[in-house]
Amino acid sequence: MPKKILKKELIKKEDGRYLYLYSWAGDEAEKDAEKEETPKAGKTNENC
Amino acid sequence: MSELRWNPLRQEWVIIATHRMNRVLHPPRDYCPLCPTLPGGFETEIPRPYFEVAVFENRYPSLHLVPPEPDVAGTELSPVAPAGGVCEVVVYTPEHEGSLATLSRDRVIQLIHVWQDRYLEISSREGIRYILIFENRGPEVGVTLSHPHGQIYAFPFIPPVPALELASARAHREKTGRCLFCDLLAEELADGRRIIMESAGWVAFVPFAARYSYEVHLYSRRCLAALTELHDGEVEELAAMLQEMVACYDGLFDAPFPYLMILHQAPVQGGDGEERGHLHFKFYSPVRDRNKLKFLAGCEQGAGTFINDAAPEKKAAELRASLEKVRRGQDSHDNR
Repeated sequence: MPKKILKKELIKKEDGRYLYLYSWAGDEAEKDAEKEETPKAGKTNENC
Repeated sequence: MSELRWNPLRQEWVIIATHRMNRVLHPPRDYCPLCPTLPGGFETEIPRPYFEVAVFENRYPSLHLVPPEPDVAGTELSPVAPAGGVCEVVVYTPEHEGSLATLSRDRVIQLIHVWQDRYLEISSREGIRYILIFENRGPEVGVTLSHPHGQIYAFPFIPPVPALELASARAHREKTGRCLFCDLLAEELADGRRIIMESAGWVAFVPFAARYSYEVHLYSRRCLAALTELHDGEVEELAAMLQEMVACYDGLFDAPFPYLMILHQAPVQGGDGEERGHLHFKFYSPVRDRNKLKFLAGCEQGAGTFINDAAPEKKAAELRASLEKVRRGQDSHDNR
């Protein structure tokens, strides 16, 4: 199953507060995001 | 008035936030501020007719991105500070009814990714030291909006509960060279009587010294510091465990079960060598039995010593039985 990538849209509310709408990116965005994926997954706490 | 006041006796900051007295309390369904805004309808916090997961700054924040100057002057003994920080609301779904248990598995996985993103983004903001992701559920714990949602508080200091746990973890590490949380998890697994459920990456259990009758802790098996370090399989397992935990609670008395769900992750913007803890969730509930609530009374509030009216081993058995019932119901539903 292809990995889903989260995307977010920023909306500035009238009173100045921010609102983020999160959704799964479509296939095109998915390909782009996979290229930039951060290598954090699987890292173990260095304290241990 | 919105400011931090220092209590030198307890060595803790108290947030004074008088504007929160005016929060919306239990609005009728048509005026739920967490629902989507429908054409011609009431304008909610989310100006769209549909969304998946929404995150916005709390209209009544305890901590402010740009905090006001304190209204009162502190003293050397009792200082006052601006109430800087972040308070966000995380709306899990556009559906007004439901819970973590009734969301689709895909939506809960998405929610965990949202939590990861918020942790990363907020941790980069200046002055933030600790990010607390949590959910309050049920009027019994003071919830004012029933629409499925959680919250995020980002503090300019490490609050007392994680600070104490991190200090304990540091002392244990200095003494043994090991992680306190890992050692506690190993003890729970070796005993086994308080385990509720396990997966390859996670273990849920009623802790040995539970303060609340139905207190449950959910630990990652790997010693991780934050959600951002999970791999995809662990995220999927976590989504399943969170959903089963809430369904298990609801199945106890066949009614929505009130709880506080707290996510503990590493402090942010700390120095090298700072104790980072161990990724885990805690579930607390005021329920101690059917139609019986636990109140924090004289011994708990006055002495700080909790009295638990039930043996953790017995409550763990009740929770396992409820989970079994939930899973049987799911199986029979799947086989229809």
